[in-house]
Amino acid sequence: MRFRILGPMEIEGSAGSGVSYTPRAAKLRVVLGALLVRSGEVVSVQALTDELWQDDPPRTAITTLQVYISQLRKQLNTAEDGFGRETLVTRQPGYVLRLDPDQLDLTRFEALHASGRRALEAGDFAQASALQRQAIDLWRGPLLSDTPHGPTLDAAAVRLDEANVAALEQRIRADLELGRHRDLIAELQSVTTRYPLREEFHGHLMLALFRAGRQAEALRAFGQVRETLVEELAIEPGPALQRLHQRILEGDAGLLVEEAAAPAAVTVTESRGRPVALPAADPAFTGREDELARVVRLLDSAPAGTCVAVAGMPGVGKTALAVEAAHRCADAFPDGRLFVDLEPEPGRPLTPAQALTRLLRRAGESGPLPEAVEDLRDALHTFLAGRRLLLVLDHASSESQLRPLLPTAEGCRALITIRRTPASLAAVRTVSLAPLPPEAARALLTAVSGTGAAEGVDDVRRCAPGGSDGAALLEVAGLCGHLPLALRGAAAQLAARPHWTPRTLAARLRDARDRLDALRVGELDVKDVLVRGCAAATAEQQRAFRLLALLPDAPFGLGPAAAVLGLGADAAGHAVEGLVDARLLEADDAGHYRFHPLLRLLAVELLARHEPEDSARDAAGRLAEAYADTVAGAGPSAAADTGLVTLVGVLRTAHAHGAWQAALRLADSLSGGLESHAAWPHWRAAHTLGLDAARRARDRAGEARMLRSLGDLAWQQRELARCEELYEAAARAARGCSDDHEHGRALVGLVDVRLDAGAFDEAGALLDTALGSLPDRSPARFDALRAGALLALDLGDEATATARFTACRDLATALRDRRLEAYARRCLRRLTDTPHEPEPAVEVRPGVWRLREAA
Amino acid sequence: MTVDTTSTAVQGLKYATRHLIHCPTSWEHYLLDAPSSGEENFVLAGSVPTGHPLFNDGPGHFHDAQSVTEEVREVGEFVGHRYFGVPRERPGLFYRFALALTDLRAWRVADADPPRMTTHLTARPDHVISGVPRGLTFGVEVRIDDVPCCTGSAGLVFLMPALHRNHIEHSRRALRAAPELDDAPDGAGWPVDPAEIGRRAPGNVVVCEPSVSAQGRLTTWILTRGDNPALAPSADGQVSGLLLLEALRQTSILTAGRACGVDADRAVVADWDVHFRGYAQAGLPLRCVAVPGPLERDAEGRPSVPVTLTVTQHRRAVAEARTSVVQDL
Repeated sequence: MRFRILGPMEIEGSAGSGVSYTPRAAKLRVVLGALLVRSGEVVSVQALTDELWQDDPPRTAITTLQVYISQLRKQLNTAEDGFGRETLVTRQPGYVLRLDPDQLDLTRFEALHASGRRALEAGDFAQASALQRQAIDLWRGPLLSDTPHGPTLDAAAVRLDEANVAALEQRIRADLELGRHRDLIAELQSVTTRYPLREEFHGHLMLALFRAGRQAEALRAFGQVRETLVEELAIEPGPALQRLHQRILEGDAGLLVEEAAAPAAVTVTESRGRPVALPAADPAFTGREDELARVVRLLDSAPAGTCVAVAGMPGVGKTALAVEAAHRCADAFPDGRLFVDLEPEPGRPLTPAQALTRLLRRAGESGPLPEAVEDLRDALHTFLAGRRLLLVLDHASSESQLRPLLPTAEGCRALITIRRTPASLAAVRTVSLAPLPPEAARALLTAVSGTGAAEGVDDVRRCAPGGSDGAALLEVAGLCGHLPLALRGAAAQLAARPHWTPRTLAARLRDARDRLDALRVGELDVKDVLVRGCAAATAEQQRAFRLLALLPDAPFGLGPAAAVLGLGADAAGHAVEGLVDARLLEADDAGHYRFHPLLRLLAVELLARHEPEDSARDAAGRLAEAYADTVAGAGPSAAADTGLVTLVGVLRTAHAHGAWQAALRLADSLSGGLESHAAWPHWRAAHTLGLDAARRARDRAGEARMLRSLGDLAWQQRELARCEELYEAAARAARGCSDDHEHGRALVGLVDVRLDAGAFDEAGALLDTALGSLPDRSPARFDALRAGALLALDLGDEATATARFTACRDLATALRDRRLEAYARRCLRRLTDTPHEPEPAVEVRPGVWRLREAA
Repeated sequence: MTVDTTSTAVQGLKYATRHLIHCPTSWEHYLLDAPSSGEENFVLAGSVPTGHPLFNDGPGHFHDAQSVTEEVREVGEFVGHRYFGVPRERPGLFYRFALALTDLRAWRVADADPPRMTTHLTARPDHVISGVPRGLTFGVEVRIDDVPCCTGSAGLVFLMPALHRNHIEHSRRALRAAPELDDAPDGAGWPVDPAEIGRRAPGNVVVCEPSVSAQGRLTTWILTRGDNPALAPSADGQVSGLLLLEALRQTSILTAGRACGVDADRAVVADWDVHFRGYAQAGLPLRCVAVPGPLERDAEGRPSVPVTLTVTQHRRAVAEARTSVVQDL
């Protein structure tokens, strides 16, 4: 006899499967169904009457039930002689149906499901998968789908449905462990549609997609389930799903498993002695062909006992490269490849003993292990002896952590990822990683985000380098500093928000102040990773790191670094090189240093948060003074060489930190370069800051200089009304501090304004006053003589003009100012040229010509 | 040979005083005071014209962008002589202009004081022989009250005096020697209504009532206006460059108005690409033919009409131009 209730009721008797003994009467099926779902238990008369008639039993309910039981016994006896009499027995307070476990599909399902669960818990994934599959296959439809359900059958249906779904979930989980992710995707997509609120199925789908290299779709799957949960239940996905999402965002190689070669031939573990415990390669790995080739070559060909280290700044992609290299070296290490994360929790590196224990366990050692590091190391070396095996030691924190783990056997190698170059370890070949080249960075963005890959040809074209989104992707890559971790953060935002375009993201990342925060997605936190990298440095290095953020955002030499750190050149060199070793600074072949763009943003933030105000002010002041010295020593050309943008940036920094005197001094030093290059925006910015600095420092002479310089700017721009106001304010400020020299210069400025307006008498009077107060040997006197010569020219007195330009030339020669001397010579040459041709313009100041309206 | 028809000498028109500032790219070069052999940068600072007899005549909706071409013409020759060592006897003649008004808002006339106009010029020497360039190429960027609003370029050639005279004489002889190429209007032309070409003063109208073909091609005759000092011929009897440019401007707006109904009072030539091909003698008839393109929209959605123009004298090309007339919203 066989009873099947996982679907419509079927009873198979001694006549075989071709003859059905299922009662035709629904009431009989109800009674039999209730007894079957509680097979082996006493089902009370009350329960059976409830099942048959619920709240409205007939007066003859008990009698009728007895009739049904009697009929059932006859039916069962028909199926197999005496079966009804023997199995359906009366037991107070009701009836019990006694069946062998194999006779009822429900019992078999529960047994298979329980065995499968135990196999899964034991890690026997193949067995678990097989058992659960058998259990699920017993189902032909909903429980007793052809039978009316009362309370008992309803309750059983709910319980068994749940068990069925659990069996399915466990089977899928086992299959995923077996590397059957590609085969599961279609099924999971169907299952998630059928059970839209079952997060575990969505999690399995995400994992399967990720393992199949479809990271973007995995992230999109999360977005969909999240949307469903929020819309239907107003809740966020549970912690497990959130964690999985986070790990996929991070491209966590630990989620990956070796793919099954063929679904039917999966073996869960390699045979002992040939262990492979390696995350699967990252499907989005890209842009590291040269470095990868170098690592693989070193692993293949380096002498015995040599180890290979992959070093670089936080987030640069060391682990991904090591995992990829380990996969490519499979042939070179036929006896196995073992991967161990030496810092599985941030800030808590494994001790050597812990690391050795993990290695040995991964190698398949299941027995008791010694506790002492030396003994563990001996055990590892014993295991490695005579084998060709690769150890991948990820996230190494120090040489001391690494030393006991390094293999010495002939055919074994260690591949290490570490931030610093492990300089004190002998026989380690280091491959340093830099951020990706721009095009590779764009490719990584595209691969991880799935931008343009899923929709169609047009989208692919748009995301190509020359496409509209391609340029935006390149910009995003640049804003991420081409750092793989940051690129993954950016790509994750694009994948998680399909309504964002690369241009949307680029716009959000442009503001440097918010960029690090804008790159945070869930728990994928670029800033956090960079902060941890910084925290690993010494306190002294951390302070240097912060202070160097005061430098202009450009490569810098030791001079500015020494100034900002307040150290001598040697000590500054030592400090800066320490930061390079800690991967917090980069050095180039020309002897310049620079921040990675994102590290600089972090340094700026840390400076504001942790550096005392007076310390930052002093450092900014020292920097401004150093640049002022450079400009003053080399003349205005230094301003052009160094770059006005840089110099104005330094001035702005000094001003922002309240280093007033230093800011004013730097502003003063820039005057010549700003004027001669007509660098108007820089000029206005620099000397407006300088003016403010002078006022805050209560430096009246400085205020006069800045006002006069801003007057010169307005004069060049021909904003004559403003120019006059500024010169007059400069004259008042200079008078207030008895600065005759600056007072005279302001007056000469006013002379130029009057000359421009044709007010020659007023110009003459102002000039006399200026000449009376100016020192004999000063640039200001040169200016006064120049204005006097121009006045004479305007009045048609060429002899006086010649005499004054001659005096200008002599004074410029005495002052050794070649620019002024050249100007005076040009003016004299024009006066002495024969024939004397009318000029369309007059050079009123060096390099500045006045084009006059014709009379 | 491509030749200009106009002198670049200072015309003495009503500009306010301006500053031309040389921004040396090489400090050492600046100190040595030697002619440059590379790129030089200049800034021309002043305000937009306010009392100019031509540029300030009109509906007053836009500042006249021809002030930019005039400024470049004005300083181009000076820069060549002063900074590139070109002998002063060699006149500088412009043979090419291109201008694009990139932000029309800045060109609108406001009620406030005349805005500041700053023109950044980049000069590069062309065809340097024995250290002396035969020409200069200018890059032009204009800001009005610090708003970037116009970019352009211009080509200037310096001719040796004898060569210049020969060209003029050859041109005159050629015109006389081929009477079969005579091209003159049937009678005295009637100047168009000033309102149709964005002016107000009848004396500033330089185009006659046109004839229009079935294909929309418009033919007009240019008035050489010896009576208008701003548009007077040069001392050697050549039609001034300003008159030719103004004729191109007026014909462009007239064409856009007749073909597409563009309102001349709110219209501006927003793009210029002009090539001077030969000399134009004052006193001889000058024909201007304009062909309008289809009505388009600029980036801001304004109506825009492309116009192709040819100026000829006795069937010899004097100037060719492509312009774009935009009507403000």
